Amino acid sequence: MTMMEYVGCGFIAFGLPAALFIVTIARDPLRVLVLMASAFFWLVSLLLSSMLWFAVVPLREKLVFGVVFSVLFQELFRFFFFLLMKKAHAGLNKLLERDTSAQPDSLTLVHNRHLLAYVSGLGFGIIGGAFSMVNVLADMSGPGTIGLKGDSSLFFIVSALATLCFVLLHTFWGIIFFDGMNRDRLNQVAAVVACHMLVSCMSLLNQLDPPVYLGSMITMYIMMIVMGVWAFIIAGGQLGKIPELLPCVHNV
Amino acid sequence: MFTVGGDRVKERIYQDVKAYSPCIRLLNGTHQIGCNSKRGGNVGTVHMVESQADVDWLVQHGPHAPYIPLLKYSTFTRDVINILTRSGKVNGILLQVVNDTEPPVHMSPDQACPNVGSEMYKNDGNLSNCQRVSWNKQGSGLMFEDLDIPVVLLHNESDVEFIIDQCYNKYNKPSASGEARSYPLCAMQLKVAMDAARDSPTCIRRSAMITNLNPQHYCDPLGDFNVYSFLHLPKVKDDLKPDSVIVAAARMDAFSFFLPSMTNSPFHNVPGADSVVTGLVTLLAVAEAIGKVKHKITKSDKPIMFTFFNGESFDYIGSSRMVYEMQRKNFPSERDPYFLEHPTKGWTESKDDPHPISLEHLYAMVELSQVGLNNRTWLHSDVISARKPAVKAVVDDMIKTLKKAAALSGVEVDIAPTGQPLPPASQQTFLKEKSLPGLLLADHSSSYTNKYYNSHLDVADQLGPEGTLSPHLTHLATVVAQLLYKMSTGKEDTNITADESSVSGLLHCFLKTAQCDMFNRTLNGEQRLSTLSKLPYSLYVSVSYVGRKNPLSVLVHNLLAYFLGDHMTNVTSASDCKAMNKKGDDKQSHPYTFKWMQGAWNNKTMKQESFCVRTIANYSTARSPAFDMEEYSWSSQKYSTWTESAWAADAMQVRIFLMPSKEREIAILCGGIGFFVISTFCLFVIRRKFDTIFDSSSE
Repeated sequence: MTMMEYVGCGFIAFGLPAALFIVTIARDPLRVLVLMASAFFWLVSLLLSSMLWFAVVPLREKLVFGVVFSVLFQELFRFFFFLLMKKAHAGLNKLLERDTSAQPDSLTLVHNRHLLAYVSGLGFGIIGGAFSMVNVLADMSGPGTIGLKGDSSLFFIVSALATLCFVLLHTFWGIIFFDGMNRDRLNQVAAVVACHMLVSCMSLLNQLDPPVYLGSMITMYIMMIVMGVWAFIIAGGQLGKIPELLPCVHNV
Repeated sequence: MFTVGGDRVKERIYQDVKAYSPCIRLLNGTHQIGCNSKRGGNVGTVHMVESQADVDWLVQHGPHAPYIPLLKYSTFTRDVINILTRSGKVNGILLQVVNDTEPPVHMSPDQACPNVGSEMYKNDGNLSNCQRVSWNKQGSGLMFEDLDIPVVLLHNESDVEFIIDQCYNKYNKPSASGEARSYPLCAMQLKVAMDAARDSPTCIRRSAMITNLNPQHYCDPLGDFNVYSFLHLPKVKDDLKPDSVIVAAARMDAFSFFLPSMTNSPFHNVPGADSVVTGLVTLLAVAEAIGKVKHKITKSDKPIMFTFFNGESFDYIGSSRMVYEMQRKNFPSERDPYFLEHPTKGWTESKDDPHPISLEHLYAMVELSQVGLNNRTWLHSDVISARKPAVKAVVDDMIKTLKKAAALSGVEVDIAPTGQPLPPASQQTFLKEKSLPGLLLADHSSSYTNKYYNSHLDVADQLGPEGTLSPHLTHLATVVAQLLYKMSTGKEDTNITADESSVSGLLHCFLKTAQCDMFNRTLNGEQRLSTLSKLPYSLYVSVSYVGRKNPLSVLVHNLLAYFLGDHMTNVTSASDCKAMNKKGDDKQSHPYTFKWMQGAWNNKTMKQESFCVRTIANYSTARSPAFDMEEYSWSSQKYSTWTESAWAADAMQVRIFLMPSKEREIAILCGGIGFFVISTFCLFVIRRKFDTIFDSSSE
């Protein structure tokens, strides 16, 4: 039974996002709500892109068309969600100031706007990852593995790793995008859209025969690391202090 | 590139085998037989078994158990199957019949002594259990084994090629030195999940239990309908004498190891060419020949009843039901579907009702068995009833008449060796209850000539060229028709002849395609020929439930009406003909049925010569009395107790795929879990040092 492959790949794709959720989100109901709300916005964008795909019959066979418009819709809804959060922010602020019993975590969410951006980005990522991976996972639980029809045996792992990469990218894009909007740095916004477009189109390489898994994966992960570092810096992270995370360095 | 694949991942993992014929599970009063898989299907590594060496390799070395061996005819023997199943390393069996240049010398899944459970000699120490003659000597009895693994026949060329080239040769074929290949291996999943288990009484009891609002049933009794017709229907007002009715019989059903005909699978799995069709066609030709001279046979002559029994391969279902009804004085029965379909034809309690026929009315029986594989025909009769001088005299007389007619027609007939019991035949059911003079015509003197008795290989090809078969069967039909005429009227008529074009036409219908001229003639014009099957109909009796009739029974019924019915020349339209059925009580129409038939094509008028036929051809239930009796002892073997297991709509599936190695699966699983654990740990560490790393002043 490849139930094992099924569980293994599930953990590869959603292990880190799950850990992020447990460690950073789950304890605060407000963060959970924001995560859910952003996931809902992503879903609406998916609905619109599929409606467009369905309506424009002649282009239905062209995957690249669907990809481009899907990316545009996702970014549009990221923008809408940003507007919503901006409106909500003031209200939340008042609410929490009056309510002395509010949890400290909720307070940081309101005070640290990067945190809000991170939560909404993760919401986008988790739901997007779920939708891209769930079909593959559903078919994996049977007795067979891929390969009979000439597909690479790496297909499952590549799918899982790609999903993971997208979840993380969405998280980072969330931080960069929101920061760009907040501080009117439109270049940041443009970079996010461009990067999203680029990485999505890269994934089309996996449709090639034979698929260029290695090339597309390396590019995607390089992008992810670049975006990660950028988001880290934007959020006030200090690269120099990273070694302090290591227990031995700390002890010194 | 950049076009939507649209296919689900499933389609890239699995290759479905489209055309296959599975073996299914049947049950009787005490046992279950046949095949079954787990609910989700049985999975095993594919291994081609073409020789004994392959069998040994699989059983002794084969490290990747469980296996699903792919057999050819040469290895599909009971011995090999027993070795494989007993090794415990086999999870299912495939038989491929494509590109097999050597069809087996013999192959019969039936027992060496067919229908042994319901034979008439059961209580005779010297004759029981085929001691004298092993009729179906080559019979493997595989059909009656409880295999409990799925066994599937593959007959589609591209399916088999895929399995051999893309699956076995590419991934599984051991190296020249006999070294097994390493993972990934090509595997298959065979799903033939049967609902019933143990035996018929169990599954019938379980089906009758109402556990929720959606009652489930687990098995159905085998059965269908017998078809019979008199030349002239004896009515109540006629004085039907004891020992007067002559029964001319043949059976309509066979079986094979692979029973269900899947609609998407163009494979004729129960052809019964010699087992059934030769006798069936010959008797129909006899009916036609007798029908032409029926004006010469009057009501004072002995009535002839043409009977086609159904379900005979499964312990004489049809004949035993008829005998049961005769014993209850319920034959013909008002409840038979013919009368149910035409309510006005039901009993009017008048003197025009059909005369009930009981065993005492029967005079003699002439039965046609397998008759196609030999130019010589043997006459078999029962040894026990021949001990009665009266019976022996009639039999001797029948043989004398038949031999005389045969000599005139150039048919070689012989008497089966003396002292030899009667081969398995519907007659046996009657003989169990009454000493009856009877003859059985067959193409074998002792053991069957037919090497493929009741198997899917009993096909038209083994009967030889049609050019010699049709004349042979025609002559035989002529001989039998003359015999019946003599028995009925006491007079000889050498002008009675069967029609060779009808015989070859009927053979075409039953062996080549059901979309044929002879069947077309008997359709009423509303039903199109194209609605009939392109392949010949399967001869498997299948299951009995209300409202269902085998298409073959309907067609045989039509043919009997066509050959024996009265043409109503004064009725010229289909609607008028139909309307005749509504006139209930007048003497002309009770209890007949009127059928409109398209008739034969006339080359001169370029039209079909349609006509209205008045017929007494009828159906009688061929469902074992065991299922309709209040208290039946299931282990008594008095009546057939066969049922077919039910199965769900998604119970059958055959698919091919790759199986990853255990190491790889474990590596992926551990990798995934490890990654999750490590990332969770790291995140806890980062959260604790959050303020150190992130400069909150940037806010």
